[in-house]
Order: sequence, then C-alpha cells, then structure tokens
Amino acid sequence: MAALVQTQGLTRRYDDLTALDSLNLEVEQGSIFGFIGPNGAGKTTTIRILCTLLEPTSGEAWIEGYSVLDEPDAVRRRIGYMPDFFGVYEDMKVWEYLDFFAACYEVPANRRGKMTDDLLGLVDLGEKKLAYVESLSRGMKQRLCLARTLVHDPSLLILDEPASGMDPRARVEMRELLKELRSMGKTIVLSSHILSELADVCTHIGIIERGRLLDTGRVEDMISRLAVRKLIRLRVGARALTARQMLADTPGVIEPKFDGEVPQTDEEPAALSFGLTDDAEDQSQVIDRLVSVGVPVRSFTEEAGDLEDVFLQVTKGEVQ
Amino acid sequence: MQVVARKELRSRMRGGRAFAVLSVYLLLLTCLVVAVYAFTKNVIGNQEFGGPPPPLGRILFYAVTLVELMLIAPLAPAFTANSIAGERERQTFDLVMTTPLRARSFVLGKLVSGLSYTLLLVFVALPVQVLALLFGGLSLTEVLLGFWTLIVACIFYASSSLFFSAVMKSTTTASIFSYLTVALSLIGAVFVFFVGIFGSGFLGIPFFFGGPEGGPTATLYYVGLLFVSLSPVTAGGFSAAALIANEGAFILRLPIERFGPNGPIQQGEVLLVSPWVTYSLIYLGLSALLVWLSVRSVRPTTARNPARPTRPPAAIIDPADAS
Repeated sequence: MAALVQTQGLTRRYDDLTALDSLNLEVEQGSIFGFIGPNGAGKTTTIRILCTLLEPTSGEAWIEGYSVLDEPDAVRRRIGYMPDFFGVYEDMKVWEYLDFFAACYEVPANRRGKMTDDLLGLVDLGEKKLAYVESLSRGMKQRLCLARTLVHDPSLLILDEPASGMDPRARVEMRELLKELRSMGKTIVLSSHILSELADVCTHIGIIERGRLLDTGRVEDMISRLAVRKLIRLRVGARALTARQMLADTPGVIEPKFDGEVPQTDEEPAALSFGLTDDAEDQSQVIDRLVSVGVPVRSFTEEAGDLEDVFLQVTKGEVQ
Repeated sequence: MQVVARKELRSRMRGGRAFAVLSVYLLLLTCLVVAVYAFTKNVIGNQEFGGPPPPLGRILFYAVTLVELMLIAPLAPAFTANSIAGERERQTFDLVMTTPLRARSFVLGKLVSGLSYTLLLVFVALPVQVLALLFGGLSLTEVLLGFWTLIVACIFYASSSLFFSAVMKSTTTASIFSYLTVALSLIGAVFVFFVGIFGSGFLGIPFFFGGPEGGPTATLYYVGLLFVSLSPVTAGGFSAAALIANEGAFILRLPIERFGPNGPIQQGEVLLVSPWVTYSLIYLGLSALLVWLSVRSVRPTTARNPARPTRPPAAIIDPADAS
C-alpha cells in the first residue's frame, strides 16, 4: 500500500529543547494511524509541521507527494486538520460555520448547500443546522469541527487528540465516526496519550517519546512482535505461598504476584498473576510443576496482549 | 478577502448592538448640532463680542466634524484591535490558517470589515454635516476636506489597530497599543505644535514661526508643515484655515519675512502643499506599511521553494497522478 504521508529526518528545536528528533515516518493510504506518546513527546509538533503551521528546523515532510515546506498551499488542500484545543465562531449558525470554511477552501457556492447538509447528517447534527454554534454541547462542537475538516473532501485527516474532553458516549460516537470515515477512503492520522482511545480504532500506530519515533507498524503486528510476555492469571485453592515461590524459581516466569489480598498462611486460597516470556516453558509444564508441589489449581488463563503492553514494552516504562 | 469580510460583517451586524451604537452616535451628533446652533444664535450672534460673527454654517460644520473625529477615534480600534488577536484567543486562528486562504486575503478581509463599520459612522453622519451648508458661509471644498480628513483618519486607525492585533497575542495588549496610537495621533501632534508656538514666544526658540529675532524661514515652514501633518486635527484645521484665507486647496503661498526696525519685511515667499495632502500621504503610507507588516506576521509558514519542490526519495504517490 502506498504511503500518503512521509517524513525524513524531521527535526524541530526550540532553543535548547529538541521537540522532534529526526523523525522518519510513513503513513499508509487508507489507514488510521495512531500517534501514541506521553504529553510533550512531540506529537503536536509533528502534526503542526504536517499541517503547514510550523516550520521544521531541518528535515522534510510530504503529503501525497507534495512537500510541506515547498508547496504548503497544495498540502492545505489535501488535509483536514482538527487541533487538540480549538475554538468555534460562537456567533455563527452551524450552517454558516461550515459555509465559511467551505468558501475558504474555494468550494463553489452552488455546491456548498448540499455539502453542508450531507456533512451535518454524517456527524449527526442535521437538526442543529440553524442553531447558533454557542448553543452546542462540547461533543457537538467536536463533531462540527470534524465536519469542518471534511468540507473540501480531503484525502487525509489529521486529528490532534480528537476525543479529549469528551464524555464516554461521545468518545464511542467519535470512534464509530472515524471508522466510517475510513470506510469512505479517508486516511486518518490521530494522536492521543490515552491508549484505550486508539486501541479499537487504529490500524497502525507510531510510538513517540521525547521527540523520537521508537516504533511503528500495524497494530496486530506490533502486539504479536512486542508483546513478549503473556499475562497468566491463576487461582489456587490453597498453598498460595508455595505456588508463588515455585513460580519465582521457574525460568521464563516474570513478576509473579498476588492479585488482591496476600494470604497470611500457606493454606489459604489466592489469585495470582505472572508474565510468561516466549522462551519460557510450555504452559502445561508450568501447571504440572504447580500440581507436583501439591498446589490445587482452580483456574489457569492466558490474557492476550494489548496496545498498552506494546507501549510499555517499547517505551520500557521510562515514560508515564 | 470577501469570504472573511462577509463573515465578519455578518457577525458584526447581527443583533441590536451595531444599530444601537449607530443610533447613540447619531443622537450625540444631533444634540451637538442643536447645542451649537443655540449657542451661536444666542451668544455669538448678538455681536457683544465685537466684530461680525463667523458664519453659522461653518461653526456647525467644524464642530460636528471635530466631535465626529473624537467619537470615531475610540470606536475604530474597538472594531479592529480584537480582529486577529481575538482569533488567536478563541483558538480559531489555526483553523483558518490551514485553509488555502491567503494571509493577505485574511488580513484585508479583517481590515475591510472593521473599516466598513467605521466608515459607515462617517457616512451616516454626512446628512448632519451637510446640514451646515444650508446655513451658508461654508464652501463645498471645505465639506469635502473635512470628509476626506475623517476617512483618512479612519483608515489609519483601523490599519494601526489591525497591525497590533496581528503582532500581539492578546486582545487586551493589542487594544492598549491601538488606543495609545490613536491618542498620540490626536493629542501628541497637537501637543508638539503648541509647545512649538509657546516655545517660540516664551523661550525665544525659533520653532514653527520663528523667534523674536527673525521671521519664519522656509525650513521652519517645512518643519511646521510636517508637524501639522501628523494629526488629523491640525492638518484639517490648518488646511481649512488656508481655504478660508482664500489660499488654494492644494498649494499655499507663505511669506518669508525678517523683522526690521519698522516691522516685518517680506523677503520672498515659499510654496507649500496644503497640510491635508502631506497628512494624507503620511497616514495612507503608514497604513499601507502596517497592513503589509500585518500580512507578514500572520503567515504561519512561507513556501521555501515552490518552483522546485522536493519530492520524497521513494516516490510514494506522484502528485501528477494523484491530481
């Protein structure tokens, strides 16, 4: 699949601070690319450079093959940008707001009316067409801003923390909307420092920390490649202390610990969890060892790795 | 430009505020006309002060024009100083800057919308001003001069406020600097002018009109013209005085004199352009410069080399194919 966004050695310095350090990034056409990193990692700096709002200190960036530095006008026509903090013109009506931006994007006047109706329908604001923007809730304003990014039918949407400040229902609605946009052929780059926001919606992720891109790829590939530890949850009817000691002595077992209360005697039941590296013993052998020392195993389950595991593995826990 | 101007004007004229400002403004001007009329008829008109009174029409016109200027001076920054800084504060600036809208169109749109309302104030007051023509003693050239002086002041006040709005991050700071500029334009130049007059009289310093030891020279006239041209009040006032003294509308002939034992001796004359011309050149030139600087300051990035753009090393999507 062709890359819609490409950066090469993208660097941005503010005096002594390097906000972005030689970022090399590719975003495939038709993907939803999640830019993950803690606050201050360089996500917004990257996004502002891609949106032609900020010049890099060095490096290059292209969108659909157009240089962000040499052809900002061509780039602007191809992107729809929603910043992390954005305002709206409160004294305008909803349709006027979209009409104004459509005019800024040089959408012909005779097409704007239908386009406005279609977009308001897409973001479920059709009934608010004649309402003033100031009367909308935050979630509605967020959806209106998303509709604004689509007025010129861009191929790429760049959304900086699109779900920040939303209530849980609005977040779910936003996720569904993003999936729908992808099905319409849009490529979406979005950033977040909340992993759960990205887990369900992204096809690709890039993990950035202190201005450096640590890893990037398809979500499932990264999970299978980087989730080197499997999380096992174990429930025992008794001999919990013995079980924990035995697990601690087993090669490939990581951080065995009690979930909940720590038993005071070896006779008490307990719940434990531990990690298992890929080169650890087969799970059945671990169970055999537990049984052989007289531990009554009530349940033994493996939990799949997720985006959080990937993030922690890649950043090695150095960031929050 | 039209896009931004239309949006701004739509928002500005929506609701009752714009019309309330217009109504109060016209009410104040009308009250002033009535007050000046009554004062002139009852006090100056009885000729107790000696000499023929100035024509009523002229008094009315200049009083209304001066008050109009004093009312517009604080209103012009109010309409413009928050235009761009306000976009930054409301966090809508980036949204507009990521569209293909040119920085020039954005700034000019803001200027046109701010200026339109200020000029509307000048135009709606026109009937009140022209009413003075009915009372006689006022020429059409004087009316046009007063009108032009106001329009140039409006353009400068709007442009300077727009500039501060573009370079300052907060509307408060932009407003403060805008009002300082307006105050300097109105009061500063007048202050310098009177310091010149009194300085020449009390300190013996030859300034605008020369000191006790010598008459005015050509250089002093030029310097005086420059100072007079720095304020709409002095520029309009002196240009009008020249018209009343039957000088030309564009060129003034002023004597170069030396004080002799039997009074001033004329040594020649100097030709000067009327102060309103230099005032217009200075104010409109400054306005153009400030608008240009505003455009430069709002542009987030400039195309590095649009004629020879770089392409990604491994051609990802050929722009030619994509389009």
